[in-house]
Amino acid sequence: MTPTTSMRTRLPARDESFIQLGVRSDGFDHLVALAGNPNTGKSTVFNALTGLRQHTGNWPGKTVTRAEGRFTVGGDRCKVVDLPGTYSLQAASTDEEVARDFLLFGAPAVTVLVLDATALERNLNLALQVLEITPTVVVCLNLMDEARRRGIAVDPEALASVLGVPVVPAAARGGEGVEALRAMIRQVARGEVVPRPTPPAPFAPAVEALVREAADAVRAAEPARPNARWIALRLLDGDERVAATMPSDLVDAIDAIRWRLPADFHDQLAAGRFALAERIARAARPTAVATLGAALDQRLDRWLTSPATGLPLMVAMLAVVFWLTIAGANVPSAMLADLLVDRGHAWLGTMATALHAPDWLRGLLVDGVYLATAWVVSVMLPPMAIFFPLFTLLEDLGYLPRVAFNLDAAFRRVGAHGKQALTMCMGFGCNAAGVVATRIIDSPRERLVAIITNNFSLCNGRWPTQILMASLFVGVLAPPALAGVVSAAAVVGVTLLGVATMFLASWALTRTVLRGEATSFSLELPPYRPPRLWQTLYTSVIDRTLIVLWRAIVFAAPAGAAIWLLSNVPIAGEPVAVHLIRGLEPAGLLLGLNGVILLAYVVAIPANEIVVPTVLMLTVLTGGAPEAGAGAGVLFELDPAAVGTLLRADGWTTLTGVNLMLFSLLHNPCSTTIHTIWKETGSGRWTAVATLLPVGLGLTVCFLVTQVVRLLTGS
Amino acid sequence: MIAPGPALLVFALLLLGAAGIAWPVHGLAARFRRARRDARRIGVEDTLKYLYHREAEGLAVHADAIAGALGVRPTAARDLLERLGAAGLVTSAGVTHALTDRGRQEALRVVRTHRLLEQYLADRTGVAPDEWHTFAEDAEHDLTPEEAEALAARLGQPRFDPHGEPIPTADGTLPVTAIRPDGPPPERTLADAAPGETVRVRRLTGECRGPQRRRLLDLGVVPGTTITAELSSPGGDPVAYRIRGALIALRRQQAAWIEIDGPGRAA
Repeated sequence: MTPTTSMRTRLPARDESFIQLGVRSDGFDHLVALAGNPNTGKSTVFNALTGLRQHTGNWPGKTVTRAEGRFTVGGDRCKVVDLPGTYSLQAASTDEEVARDFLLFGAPAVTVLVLDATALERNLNLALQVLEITPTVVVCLNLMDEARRRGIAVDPEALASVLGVPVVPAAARGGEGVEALRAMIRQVARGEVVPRPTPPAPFAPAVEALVREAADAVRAAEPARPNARWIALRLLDGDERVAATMPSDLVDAIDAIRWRLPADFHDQLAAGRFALAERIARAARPTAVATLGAALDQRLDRWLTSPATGLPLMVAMLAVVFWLTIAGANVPSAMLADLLVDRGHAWLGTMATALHAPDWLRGLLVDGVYLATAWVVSVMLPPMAIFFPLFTLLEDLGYLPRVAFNLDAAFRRVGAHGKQALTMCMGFGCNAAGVVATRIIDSPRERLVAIITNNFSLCNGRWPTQILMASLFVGVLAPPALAGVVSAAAVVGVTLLGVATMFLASWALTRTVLRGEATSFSLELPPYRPPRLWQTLYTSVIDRTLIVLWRAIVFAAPAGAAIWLLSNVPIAGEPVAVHLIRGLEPAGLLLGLNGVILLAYVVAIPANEIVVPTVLMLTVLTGGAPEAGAGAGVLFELDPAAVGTLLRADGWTTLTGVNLMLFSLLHNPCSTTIHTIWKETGSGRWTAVATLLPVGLGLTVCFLVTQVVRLLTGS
Repeated sequence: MIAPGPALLVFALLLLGAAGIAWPVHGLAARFRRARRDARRIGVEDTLKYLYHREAEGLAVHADAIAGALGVRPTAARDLLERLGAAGLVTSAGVTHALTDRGRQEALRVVRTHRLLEQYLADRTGVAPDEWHTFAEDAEHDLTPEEAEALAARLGQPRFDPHGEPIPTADGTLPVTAIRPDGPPPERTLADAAPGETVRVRRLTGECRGPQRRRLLDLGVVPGTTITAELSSPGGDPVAYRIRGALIALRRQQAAWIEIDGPGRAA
C-alpha cells in the first residue's frame, strides 16, 4: 500500500461488494477505472492502454457490457476496468449506477477520466462529479487530433492547473500520449503525484448555506469521511444507496434540511456544475479560434441527412451491405458445407465404423449431433463474418447514428426509437445479436419494443429457406427468363412484410402492454471519424460473430440428437416422428402447411438453418421417396430441382411454398434468441410476449391466407 | 378437410369473443376490473381522505356530502361514519363530522401513498399526466406502509408530487404548503428556433420531468446555455442541435420543453 491510500476520499470498500463488482484482488498492483462520456473515444483509450490483453463480459447481474484489461508500466501491473460511458453519475440509469458504484465501492487506485477535447464543457460536467467522489484522477484529454482538425485549441497545462489534477493530452487512435498516460497513472497510483482537485461548484448563497449546514452535519457524524460535501449533496438529493451507508440519525437530520431547499434544487445542482465547467473550459481555451475544420462534417451531414439525398444514399448503402453479405457468403458457405457436412460427416462415419461403435451411437453422435452442428456452422458463419464487420465499420464511421436520425420520424409515430432501425438491421444478420444490440437504446420502453419486434427482421438463418421456396414455388410461375427476378422480388417482398409487421407490432405494443413503461429520447450525432480497420475486425469477429456462433452450437447440438432420436427410435414399428407428423397433419393442412413442416419447426427451434434439411429428411421418412437422401433419419440437402420434385410428390403446392415463406418470417424466435431475450430483459413476461406474439401472428396469417385462397379458388 | 367458409367463420367468432373480453375500457375484463375497484372505493380510506381534504379547506362535512363524493347511497355513508366513529378515527358533532388525531394520521398516510404513487408515475413511467390520478387512486389501497416506504426510497424521498403538492412525511407531518411546479406557459421554445439560429435557454418547463429532464440537464441544457439549431432530419423532426460542443438530436416535443429568450432579447 502506498502512502496516499489514506488520502483517498471514498466510502470504505468491503470485500463482499468487491466480489459483487466482479473484481478479484489478485495479480495486480493498481486498480484503474476508466470513466468518460459516450463518444469520447474511451474504448479507443482502453484498447490503446491494454492492447489485446483484455476480455469483455457483463457486469455481475446487469446487462451492461464490461471490459477489463491489463498493462504493465515501470514494473507495476495495472488492471483497467472500462466503466460504461455516461453523461452523469446520478445513478438514474443502470449504466450510471454501475459506473458510480464502481467509483464508490470498487476503490480504484486511479480513475482515468477520458475527456473529449472538442466538447470540453459537456465532458467537464461528468469530470466534476467524479472529482467530488475521488481525487485520485488522471485526465486523459483525448481527441486532440480532432480538436486540431476542427481548429479548437485546448491548453492541457491550463486545464490541469484549474482542475487541480494531472492532464495528459492524447490522440489514442494514433497512439499519441498513451505512454505518458501509463506513466502518469503509475505516478498517481504510487503517490508520487498527488492531485488536489478544484473545490466543487457553489450554489446561490441561500442554498449554499443549507448545503454547508448539511455538510457540517455529515462531518460531525462521520469525521473519517473527507468527501462530506458530496455525501451531503447525495443525501439532500435523496440518494437511497448513499443513505443506506450512513447512520439513520444523520439521514433524519439532513431530511429536515431538505424541506428548506427550493423545489428546483436538482436543477440548480446541474446549473451550478455547468457554470463551473464553463469557467474551467474558458480558462483552458485561452484563444477563441473559429471552428473551421468542422465544415467538412457539416457538408457531409447535409448530404447524408437531407430529404433529397439522405434517404437514397442510406438505402443504397444498406443494399450494398446486404448484397455483399449474401453474394460474398455463397462461396465460403459452400466450401464449409463441403468440408464439414460432406467430407467431415463421411469421415466421422468411417471412423465410427472402424472403431466398431454400435449403430445407435454412431447415428446419435455423427448423424445427429455432429451433422446438425456442422450445418449450423456452415450456413451461419460466413454471412455473419461478413455482415458484422461491415456493420461495425459503418458504426465506427459515425454513420449509423445518422441513419437513426433520418428514420426517427417513422419510428416515433409507432412509439419507438430511431435507433431501432439499427437493431433491426443487426437482426437481419442474427436476431440474437440484434437483441443484444438494443443496449444502445437507453429508454426502457423503446428498448423493450426493439427487443420484442427484432424477430420480424429476417435473419440470415432464414434466408436459405426463403430463397429455396421462392425459386421452387414462386419463380416457376413466371416465364423462365423472369424466374430469377420474380423469386428475388418474392424474398424482398417477404422481408418488407417483416419490416411492416415490425412497425405494426411496435405501434400495437406501445399502445397496449407497454403503455406505462418509462420513455425518453436522446440521440447524439458524434463527428465522423476514420474507422480503425483491424480493431473493427477484431471486435466484430470476437464479440459478435463467435459469441453468437458459440451460443447457436450449444443449442444446435442437442437438437441434432433429438432429431435423430425422433426419426430413428421406433414405436409400434414406425419412427416416433411418423406418429407425430400424422398427429400434426390436420392442423398443418388447416394452416396451408403440413405435419412435416410443423414438426420441423418444433424440433428445429434451436436454429432456423436446419429447417430445410429437417423438412427433407422427414418427408422422405414419411414415405416420399426412400431412395433420395443420405439414409434413414439423416439430414440432407439436394439440388433445388430434386427438392422440387420430392416436395411436389409429397403434395406441396404453390400455396404450401408461400405459406412456408410466411411462417418462416412469422414464427417464434430460435432458442438462442429466446435465451438472449430472457437474459437481456430478465423477465419471463416479456420473453413470453416476444416468443408467442410472432408465432401467433404466423399461425393467423397462414390460416387466413390459406382459407381465403381456398374460398376464392373453390378448392 | 374443413371447408374454408366455416373455418373462417369460426375464426371470426373466436376473434370477436377475444376482443369482447380484452378490449380496453368496454371489454369484459376492463368492466370487471372497474367494478371491483368501485366496490373497494366505498371504503374507509377514501372517507378519511375526503374528510382530510375538506378540513384542509376549512369546511364542515355532512354525511350527504361524503355519499356524493364517494358515489354511494347516504345510508351507506352514515354506516361508514359510524364504523369510523367506533374505531376512534372520526368524531361527530350533530350532522357534521371531523377527524380525530388518529384519523388524521391515517388520512395523511393514505395521502402520502397517493402522492408518492403520482410522483412515481410522473417520474418513472410513461403513463400520461391525465391518468396519474386514476392510476394512483386505484393502487393506493394495494400498497402496505412498508411498500410505500420502499417506493419513497427508490424515488429519492421526493418532497412534492407532480402537481406541486407536498408529500406528507412518513411520521405524518406536512412541513410546507404547495408549490407551483409548472410556472407560466413559455413564450418561445427551442421548437420555434429557425434552422441555423442560435438561442439562449431560459428554463426547462414543468412538463419536462423524470428521466427526460435529467437527461437534458446532463447534456447541459440549463438556464443561460446557448444552443444552435444545426441540422434538420428529412421530415423536420427530430432536429439536431449544437449543445455545448456536441451535436444532439431532440424531438419536437422535447424541444418544446425548453423555453428560450425571445428574438428581441437574445444574448
